[in-house]
Amino acid sequence: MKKTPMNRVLMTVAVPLALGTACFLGGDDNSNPDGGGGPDGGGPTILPFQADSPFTYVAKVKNIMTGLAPTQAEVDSVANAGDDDAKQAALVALIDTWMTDTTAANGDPKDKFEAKMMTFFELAFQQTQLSQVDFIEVVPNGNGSIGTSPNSNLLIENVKESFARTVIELVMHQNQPFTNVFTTTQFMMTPALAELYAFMDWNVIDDVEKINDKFATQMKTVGVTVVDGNSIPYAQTIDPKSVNYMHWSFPNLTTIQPPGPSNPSPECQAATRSWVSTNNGNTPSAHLVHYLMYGDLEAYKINLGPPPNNNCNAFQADNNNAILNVATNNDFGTWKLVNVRAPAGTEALTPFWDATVLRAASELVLTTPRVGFFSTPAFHANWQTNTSNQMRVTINQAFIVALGAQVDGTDTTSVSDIGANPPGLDTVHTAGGAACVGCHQVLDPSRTILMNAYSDGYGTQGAPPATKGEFVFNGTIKPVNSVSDLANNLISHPYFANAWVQKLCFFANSEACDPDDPEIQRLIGNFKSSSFSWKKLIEDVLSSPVTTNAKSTLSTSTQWGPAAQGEIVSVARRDHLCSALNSRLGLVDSCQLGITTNKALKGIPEIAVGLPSDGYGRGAASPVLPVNPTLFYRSGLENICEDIAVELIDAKAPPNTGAQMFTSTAQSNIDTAIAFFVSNLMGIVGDDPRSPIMIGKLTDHYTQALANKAKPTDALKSTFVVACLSPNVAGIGM
Amino acid sequence: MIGLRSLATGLPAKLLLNPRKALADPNFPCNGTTKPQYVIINTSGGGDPFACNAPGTYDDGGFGTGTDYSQLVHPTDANSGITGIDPVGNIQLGKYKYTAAGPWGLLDPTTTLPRTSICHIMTNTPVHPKEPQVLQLMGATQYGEMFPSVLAKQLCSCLNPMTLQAQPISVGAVTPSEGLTFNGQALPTIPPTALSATLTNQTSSAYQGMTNLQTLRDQTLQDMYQWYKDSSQTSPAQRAYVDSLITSQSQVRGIAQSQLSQLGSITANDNAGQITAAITLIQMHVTPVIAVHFPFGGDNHADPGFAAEAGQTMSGMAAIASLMKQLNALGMQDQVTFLSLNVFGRTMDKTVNTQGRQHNQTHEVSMMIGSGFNSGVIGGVTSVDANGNPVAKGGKGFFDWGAAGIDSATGKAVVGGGDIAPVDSLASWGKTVMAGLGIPQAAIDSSITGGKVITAAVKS
Repeated sequence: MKKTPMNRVLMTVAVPLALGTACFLGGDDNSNPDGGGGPDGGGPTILPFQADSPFTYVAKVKNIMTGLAPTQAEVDSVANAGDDDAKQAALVALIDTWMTDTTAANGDPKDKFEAKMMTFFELAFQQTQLSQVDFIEVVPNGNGSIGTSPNSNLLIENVKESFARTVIELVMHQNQPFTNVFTTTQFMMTPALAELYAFMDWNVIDDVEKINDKFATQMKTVGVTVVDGNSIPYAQTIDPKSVNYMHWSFPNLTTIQPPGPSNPSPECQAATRSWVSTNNGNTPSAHLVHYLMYGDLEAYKINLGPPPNNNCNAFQADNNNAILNVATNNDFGTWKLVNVRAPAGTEALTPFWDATVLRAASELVLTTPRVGFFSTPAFHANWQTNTSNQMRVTINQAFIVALGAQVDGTDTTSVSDIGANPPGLDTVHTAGGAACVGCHQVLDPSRTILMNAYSDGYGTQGAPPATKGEFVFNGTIKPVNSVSDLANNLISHPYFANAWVQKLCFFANSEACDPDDPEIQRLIGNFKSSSFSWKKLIEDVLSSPVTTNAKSTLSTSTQWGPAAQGEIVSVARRDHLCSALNSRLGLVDSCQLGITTNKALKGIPEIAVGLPSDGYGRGAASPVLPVNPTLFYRSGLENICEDIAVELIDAKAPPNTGAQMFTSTAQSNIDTAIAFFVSNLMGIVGDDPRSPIMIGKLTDHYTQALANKAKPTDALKSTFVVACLSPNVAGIGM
Repeated sequence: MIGLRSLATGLPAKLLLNPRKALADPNFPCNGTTKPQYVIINTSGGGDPFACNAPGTYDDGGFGTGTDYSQLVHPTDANSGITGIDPVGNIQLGKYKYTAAGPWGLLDPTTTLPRTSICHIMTNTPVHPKEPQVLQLMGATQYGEMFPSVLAKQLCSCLNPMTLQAQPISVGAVTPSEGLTFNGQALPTIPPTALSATLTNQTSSAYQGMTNLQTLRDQTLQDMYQWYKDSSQTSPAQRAYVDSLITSQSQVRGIAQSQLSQLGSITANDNAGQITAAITLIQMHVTPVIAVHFPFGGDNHADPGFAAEAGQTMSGMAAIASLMKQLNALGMQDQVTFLSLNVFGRTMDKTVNTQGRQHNQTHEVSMMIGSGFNSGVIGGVTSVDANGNPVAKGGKGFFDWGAAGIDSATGKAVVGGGDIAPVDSLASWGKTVMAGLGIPQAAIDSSITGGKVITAAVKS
């Protein structure tokens, strides 16, 4: 089949190519990375295909969906289903069950599949890989940006999760078409995240990082006063009719900035401090109140002399007494769908300082347009732009997310159709030569759409360009008026369906699928004909032989692209590994992947940050997915397994409610434990021919350990570690 | 068709024509490298302004390049607010004394500068996402291999003892774009803070019993692996995965636990943490090549007074000086070569770069510090157009200041001439590094197409 330009783009996969990992140490002489023939042979580079049994692929699919091991009944339902089609249908039935299974939940979200999809959507929509420093340009201030306190870290976690939760709500809970998530103006928010959205609308950043502080303007004469103690109820603080309007209680204000080189002035220990236009130039700022909402006090100048004498150092709270807090109001854990809309006429913006409004809000009135994934603070923090880049990185990453391809000089749009001077073309950049023109003719009209909505600091655009721009990408040219038009053009583009099938191929198989594979064409067709049902796409891709390897496909059996490797058994990367350990052993976030913290990690989380993980890079159309175990992976996993063994075997108390505990006090307990290790940890059901083999090997290990004078508890822990290090846990597809 | 695919995929046409042959390279025998070294390479996809403050951008040290250096802008103490960034004029490199940003004076004049080579080159891209391609020397490496991996393959088994693994390790990549690949496959980035907990056998009382059973556990796992390999139910893909587990288990047991204690002192993934991690991994003979990321100002489009650039140039140069000092203290100065390579440099013309710097595809500075290199500045800067062609400053097509041509025998910058054109300078730098490490010319030529060894930089 002829490769289309789109196909060629999809071949930009940095997919695994087997490694000769040993530098003449260790390894195995048989570890030919090519799987056949000599290095000068002319045969295919992929390994010979051998169909997997239901024992393997039911375990694989359930693992990547839930982290759990299959049950005997589940494997039987597929194995006994008859022909290939019947087996596939039986697997679809299981997939439907796993999609909705809310039993044995740990943590939030409640559903294990939703937790997997959370991770997938965070990566696929490029909403993660964030830390405090990434917000410096979208929340500029110079005193800590978005904030540095533990509560601010919870806010950053909210930022990362919001869009993934939005997708789950819309397509998995409300069964809306997947295309709707690209055009939505509704976002899952916590009260804290609603505060950030509102704050960013009051604290507007322009193209050169200059702040238009609408709050400061509105409160110029009212000012902001911070008072030691708890004497001012918050209800009065936010009540414009109260004499205490914008007077904020701050317990222990006099002691938070103790005298010292950072706080040399006695003013830094004052019990009452005011920010008004007449007070030494310290006008109230939105950022000051943003910090107060999290219990923090930003650094500020008091104009009592030259630096550093004119400064009071910042204070970051570490408690639950903040307005937006964890203990009393769960302001970082209460999620709901919130619509963002523009103000009607002179309608006031949603006040970011009013937590009661934020907690009750089903909509936010904001001037900055928020439409789909490319409008979120997370996406903006990930892909910061500037007066030189001017949204090119933003639009390029948006193309990568939505359409699985980027502007790389191979765009198929007719140059004559685009025209020599499309709207928004930057003639300065194209002056660099013909090589620049190809990309800029596509990038510049499209990025101009974003420039009309956002400043280079991702604030509300106050000085839009002269033209609205134009949607230009691989054969499609459409006029536009807004970012909503951009979203609609993304979902109607011919690349859209293929892109999302491919993203699930990466999720399930760690590599792309052959876009010319009839099986992939079937999946794409089904996705379209189902009105872009996410549930249908999950059913299709995960039950497809491109995932199960139940039978040969072009994707798994042919050298369809330069780096295609056929079936891949991949290392269990961090998200899959941690999910499996949590789900199978009843642990709660043992790797601490769900927490952004500025505290030093210890134990398993410390190792987990170094495990191979899924990632995305700027300008990379394919995710970065390490697939082979390294010595670091092997060593780290051994230490993780040992940590878990200590927590679960003969421990005085379980690490958390629901944790699976084991004891070495009697032979019957040993036998039960080993049977569990094989069936639940390794995911090998009883009827699997491998089951008695593996039980035998673990039992032998335990027996030999005792013979080596080990204590029963150490022997059982070591046996657990063997199971935990087995290919079935360390790999996906065994 | 192949050409189009090559364009679309970024993979060399040769690989597309015969991917099997291109990628079949399971082991890496030592083929005569005479001066094998461990390599620490500093790289940034942000295009940090490292080059803008290096020797050769303030003056030519008397080498005679004819460039009007007064047209290039640099941070000062006054403008940046950073004390110590004011230039110093005593950077002795080879026969010449150069001016450079203040912190370059931190490099030891007796132990470091005499083996420091500063190369003015161009990467020929102004695009951040091209960091992987720059690490592939913009298509010049065989089969699109990343240069750190090219070096690793050549060095791993020539070092004595040979390293545990052939693949390089990045302990500094701050984004996946800065991650390394080996044979086209993504390698994980290992943060320095994770190294100790990852590699160290746990020895507290709760773990001692398990640690004592490690050998038995390895035997059981080996037995399990063998069963999988022998079973007809195991697919070739599964068998290949089991093979990789066998390899990684062997590598782990090659780690000298006694040398891991210093990893415990790492508290952050900052410059100091990366240095400790790199030195320790070398002492443990884990890998021949380690990538770090010492910030030198980042993507500083908006950097009034070059404050960020100045501050990070101070800390970055201090990191390099500290690394060299530690290597000397450990007696490892002749075992390790330090390199730098960024995705691109940044613009320097004083008339437009007042509030920050833009991407500069025509100029970048890569340095080598090691026993295989002559001290000196290779090449220099001249006024160029956007393609790196010399044009008069302010003349038609003037873009900024870019790399001049290089005379490979003397290292002198030759505007519009020399035997190495700016566009070939990246590949030439790669070949020069390999030559400095004693890698045979045949291996150099088969690893990197284009360019030539800058003999002036290589210690004979």
